[in-house]
Amino acid sequence: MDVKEILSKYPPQKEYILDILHEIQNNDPLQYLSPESLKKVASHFNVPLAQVYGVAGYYSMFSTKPRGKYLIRVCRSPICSLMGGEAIIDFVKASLDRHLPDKSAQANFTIEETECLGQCSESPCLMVNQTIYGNLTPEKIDSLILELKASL
Amino acid sequence: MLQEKRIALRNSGLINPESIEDYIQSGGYQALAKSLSMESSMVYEAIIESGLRGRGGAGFPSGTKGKSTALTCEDCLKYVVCNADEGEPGTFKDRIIMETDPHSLIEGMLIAAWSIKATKGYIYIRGEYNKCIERVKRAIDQAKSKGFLGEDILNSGFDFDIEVKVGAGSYLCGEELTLLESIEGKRGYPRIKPPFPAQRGLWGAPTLINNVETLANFAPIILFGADWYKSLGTEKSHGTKIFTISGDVNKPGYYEVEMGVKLGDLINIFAGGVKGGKEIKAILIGGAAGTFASSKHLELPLDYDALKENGLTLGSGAIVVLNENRSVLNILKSILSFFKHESCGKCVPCRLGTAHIYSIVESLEKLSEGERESIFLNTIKQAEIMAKTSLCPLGQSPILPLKSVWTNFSDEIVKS
Repeated sequence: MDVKEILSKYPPQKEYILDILHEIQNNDPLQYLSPESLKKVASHFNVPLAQVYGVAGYYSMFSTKPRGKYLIRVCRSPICSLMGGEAIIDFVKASLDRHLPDKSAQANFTIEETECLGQCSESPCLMVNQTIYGNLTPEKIDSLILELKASL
Repeated sequence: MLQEKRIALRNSGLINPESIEDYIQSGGYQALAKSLSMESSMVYEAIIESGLRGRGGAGFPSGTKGKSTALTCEDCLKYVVCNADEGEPGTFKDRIIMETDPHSLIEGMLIAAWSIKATKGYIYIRGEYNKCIERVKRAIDQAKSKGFLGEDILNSGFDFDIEVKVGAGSYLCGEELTLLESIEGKRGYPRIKPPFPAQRGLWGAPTLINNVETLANFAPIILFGADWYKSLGTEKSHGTKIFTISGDVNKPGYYEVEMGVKLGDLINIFAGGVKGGKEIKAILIGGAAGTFASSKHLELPLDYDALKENGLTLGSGAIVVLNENRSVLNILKSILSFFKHESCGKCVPCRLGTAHIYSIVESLEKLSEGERESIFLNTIKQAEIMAKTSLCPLGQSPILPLKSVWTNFSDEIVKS
């Protein structure tokens, strides 16, 4: 679905800016908000581009930089950190290096840190796109990366 | 034998959350029908009488909030907003309600809406909760098709509709006025209070904002009466509370129990005790914007007042258990780094203060033992000033963990 189609689905009130940004980002193969998309949103609502950038830049789930096919969000909450979460990012990076030595293939993966994902009874945890993975261990992370690699 | 008492979670795990028929068969939407047969003011009076307090963290009397919203104006446009932007670290009770029994939230919102004669409602769910968003949206569609939502609900002449709004990763949007800004499609900056949302909320109209768990209690209170609800819990904190327990325990998870349960019972009986048979060092109650209790507090009943008397807070009901080998200072650093990251930057004391306090505590171990006490006490003073000069609860929160760490674990700060 292109930006024009998405914009036409919503009523013209500015309250739908967040909903629209979510949908544009989810429909972009690079999971981000491109300058062109943001310009289209601004002219649709007849607001300055800065206002749309202001919204997109404020919320951490929105990205104005292109991202990979797999967005890996690692929980950095105090609870996950307590339960071994601080090492998770390094495990993920090491696993990617091991299984995808080719750096260009690694571009399909974007690693971000996120605040509490609300899965604290299964900490440490992370999210890949829309799916949660909890009770992480180095072995689990390894098999997850292999699984993702297989469906690249 | 202590047992769970499930009210907000009454159907959780017992019914198919994707089936409205299941919800109706287990008594669902009867409280809505009963409410619509009552004077709308009698509905908020019943909630006042029950003593229900907001389960999001602040603990404000829910019925009183409804009444003041209703009385702001007679026939004007009003809104009901459900705060489902659960972001307090360690908290996941609202997620469980929305995932396992979304109709209990929708029925609660309908009852709240009738009590203040609101015609439109919004459920603001954090963007990371995909399953909740999906289930709540589906439940709204089902409720519409059965005539519980829309025009002339159950032939009462009452119209009400609900829309889901999706957050985008901002802890601050869980603060009620910031949440309204976000619903309006703006950056999540807090507003100046007063006016309170009951007077001027969403697009300037009177707005009743309630947490998911709070609303999930509405239907049982209406159906079984305020006296029944008051018979549960303690003298001043009525009813039940969902506690979410994580950290070094054998059975981390969610447990809905009567208010006044002892902290130690919650950890040892419900959460199965500390992993590996270790001793408890600290218990973080209420999340990042919460307080650190020590093993000497295990006999303390968990209710709003008993905790307050001990310099502690119930908050959202998050309980994080730390065993004897854990460093309280490390988790404090993690909490302060969280506040630094989530400060929106609108108020200067919070923008600079959260970063400054984090940097001091982060490098505390580099100081000599003799210097640490005065530096830490000075940091507490700065956090106090920050609390007084910030607009919203974010800048007002770091003082809570800091002060309680000093009260209960000063040895860990001074020596290491």
